[in-house]
Amino acid sequence: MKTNAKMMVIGLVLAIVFCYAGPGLAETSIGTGAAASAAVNLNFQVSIQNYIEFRVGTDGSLDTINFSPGIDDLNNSSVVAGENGDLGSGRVSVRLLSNTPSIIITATNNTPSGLVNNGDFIDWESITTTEVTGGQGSIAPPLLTNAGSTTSTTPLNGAQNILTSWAYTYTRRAGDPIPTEDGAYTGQVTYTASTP
Amino acid sequence: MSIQCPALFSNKAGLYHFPKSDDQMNATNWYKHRLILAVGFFMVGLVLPWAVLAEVTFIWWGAPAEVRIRVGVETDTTTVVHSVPLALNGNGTPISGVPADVVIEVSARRETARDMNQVYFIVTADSSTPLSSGLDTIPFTEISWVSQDGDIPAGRFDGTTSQVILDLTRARWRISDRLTFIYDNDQAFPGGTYKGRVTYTISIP
Repeated sequence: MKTNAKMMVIGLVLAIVFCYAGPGLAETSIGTGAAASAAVNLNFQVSIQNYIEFRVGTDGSLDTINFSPGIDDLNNSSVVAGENGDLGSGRVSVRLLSNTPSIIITATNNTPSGLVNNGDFIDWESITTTEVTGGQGSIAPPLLTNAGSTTSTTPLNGAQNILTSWAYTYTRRAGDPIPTEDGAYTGQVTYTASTP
Repeated sequence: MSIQCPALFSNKAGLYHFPKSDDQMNATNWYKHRLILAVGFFMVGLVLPWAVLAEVTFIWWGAPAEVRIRVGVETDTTTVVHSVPLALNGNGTPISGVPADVVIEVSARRETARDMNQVYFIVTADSSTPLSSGLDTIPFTEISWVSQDGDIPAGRFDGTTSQVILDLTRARWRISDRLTFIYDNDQAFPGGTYKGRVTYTISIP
């Protein structure tokens, strides 16, 4: 009798468990009728952070652009191409990888009065920066100035992988004194990429 | 020993004869006896819940015909979030969504037993509106899914209004599975929080 009762209980329990685990559902949307339909929504969200990867010149080291104007170049205000740079001839590669709507490049020099040599200066404005066409995408270079820093803004219109180059030239501007000190006039420019 | 039971389980003239004492049975018969008892009461128990437990109301067939669908939590619209780490942005590393096991349950009840055995239901998804963040968009074709049981086949959103998720040859009564959604992350989209919605529909053609 005890065994029979146990079998009854097991049977009933199994049956009830089966019923609950089977068709007993609680649903979100119900439709009725012979050709019924029911619909539910599922939302999706993809979160992507803004990023900027920026390089000017040789990856991992600091490039120095040299200008060696002759006396005639100084007297005639000739355009003097630069030397060195990772692409040579005073040209540096510029790579920008970003997914921001636009990018601001800021050029900041460390000697606001110009390139310096024993207390004598050459204005930063004497150095012109131009973008060399034909690269992958374009980034407008900020011009150098004694004012300290300048900016250029480039719209990106979505994620971009830009590889271009900038070339530097030196020209003694009309009215500027001819540099009088022997030796090298030096200065450093820091380029910073940022979002608006 | 005897037990007074309804006709189905009678010690006299029913379908099953209870032994009068343990010593009337050898070991083999005793196991048969126990098995028959368990099966018998299991079948009786199938009927009892509808009689005793009012909340168990699912009926395999009967008017009105009805279809049900649930995706995610029962009480609200679930949001599957794919957060792309900065270092992995657009590099092709798949990004699983959270929650990673989205419940999907679909079922149908027909008016007649004949329909129940012959008519299948279909589940479709509308992913035609891409995820968006301002003016930037990500097509739903960048998102695929795998299922825990394979009852809902693995697939990828096709960006159309009526993509068949479960075709007409697979289910007549009920399907339950859990889905994990995966964002391809193979393109560098502009930064932002992209939001979108897919609508799942169960229907009986």
